Amino acid sequence: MARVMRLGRVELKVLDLEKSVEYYTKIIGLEETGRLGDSVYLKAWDEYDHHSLILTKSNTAGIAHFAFKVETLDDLAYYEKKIEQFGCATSRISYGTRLAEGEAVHFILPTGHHGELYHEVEFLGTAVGTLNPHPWPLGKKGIAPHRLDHCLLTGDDLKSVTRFFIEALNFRQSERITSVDGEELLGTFLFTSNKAHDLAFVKGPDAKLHHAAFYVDSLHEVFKAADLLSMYEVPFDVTPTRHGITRGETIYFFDPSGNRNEAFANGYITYADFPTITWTEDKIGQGIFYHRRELSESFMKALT
Amino acid sequence: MYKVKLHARGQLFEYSCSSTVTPLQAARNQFIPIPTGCKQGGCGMCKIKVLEGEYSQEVIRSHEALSDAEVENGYALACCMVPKSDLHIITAEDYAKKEKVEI
Repeated sequence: MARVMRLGRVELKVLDLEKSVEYYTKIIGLEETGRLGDSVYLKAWDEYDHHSLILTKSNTAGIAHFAFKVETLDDLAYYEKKIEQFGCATSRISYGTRLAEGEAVHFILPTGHHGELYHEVEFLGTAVGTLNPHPWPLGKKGIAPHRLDHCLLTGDDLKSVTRFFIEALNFRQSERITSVDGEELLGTFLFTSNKAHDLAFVKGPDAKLHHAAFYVDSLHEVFKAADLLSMYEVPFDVTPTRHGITRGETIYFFDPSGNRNEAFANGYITYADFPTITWTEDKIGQGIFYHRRELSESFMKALT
Repeated sequence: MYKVKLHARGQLFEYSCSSTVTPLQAARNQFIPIPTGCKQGGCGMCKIKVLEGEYSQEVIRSHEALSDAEVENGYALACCMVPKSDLHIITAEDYAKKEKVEI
């Protein structure tokens, strides 16, 4: 069976829908592609599918679900069975539950997060098209990332959640954070594509979101994103720096509901035969913030 | 300018705060180590108990960060409020510890 393709969408809970739509369209620079009920659907300019982000009005912040796209309906049935065999219950989200989506396979992770797999979603195309395309569209707004990149979630049982993604969904682990003696798993970075991570977990309370990240091209674009955030007075968590883990260049900031966002650039590419990189807890400061070499309280504790 | 007395991290801090600035930002501006997260009413890291004083607060916030019952019991988010008088406040963390000791 083919590998699971990519992180296709994330649904975030937001407190003030219109304020959030304004932030994600004007400042992040995503395009609104539709509305249904209390949800607004958005995509980045370089994405083909109908949406990669759903904002749903709620009285709490955080992540409602994440979903990975598979290549065919056969893959969907195959991985559905693999999830069941692993010991996680699945159910089908029926066609038309959300806008522009077909059926999805729903499951709950050992960390309490709601995940889905899907194949069918309406095709919209990128802003530059597929025939003699320009490298980027005129009239981009805000940060204008290429795509949704990855999520970092928190949970208690990181060993089980890692096993779930490796055994049931055929993911691989690019990096991990362990206690100095190697006994305890404190962070796990997982990929199914060639990215340094598609989904990651760090030790913390179950079912919480640490951040949702959007991909930009370069350190220069990270810096420009940071400039924009200051122009719009968006609260920062972390100003431009580099990660030891993934080697990505990064900024962290908060959406109007306190959900942490990241503008992430570069990072190495992965292959199936790469060994897992290990960071020990005593070096975690530079693993996460390579220059500062210390964690910050807000980065560790502010979760939604 | 109002006076704020803040109990945080087991210490007492006194600082001034205008009626247009949150007690969170005023503390940070004066290098007072108040627990700070998203500053958007989403994460609840700056949850405080107001022991004394008047204030107005933003009603839109995460109910996981600050529930209706907590609002009724005088809790607030230091990032989502402004003072309307002198304030005497304590971080939710310090208040929980204090209650434990007193029990």
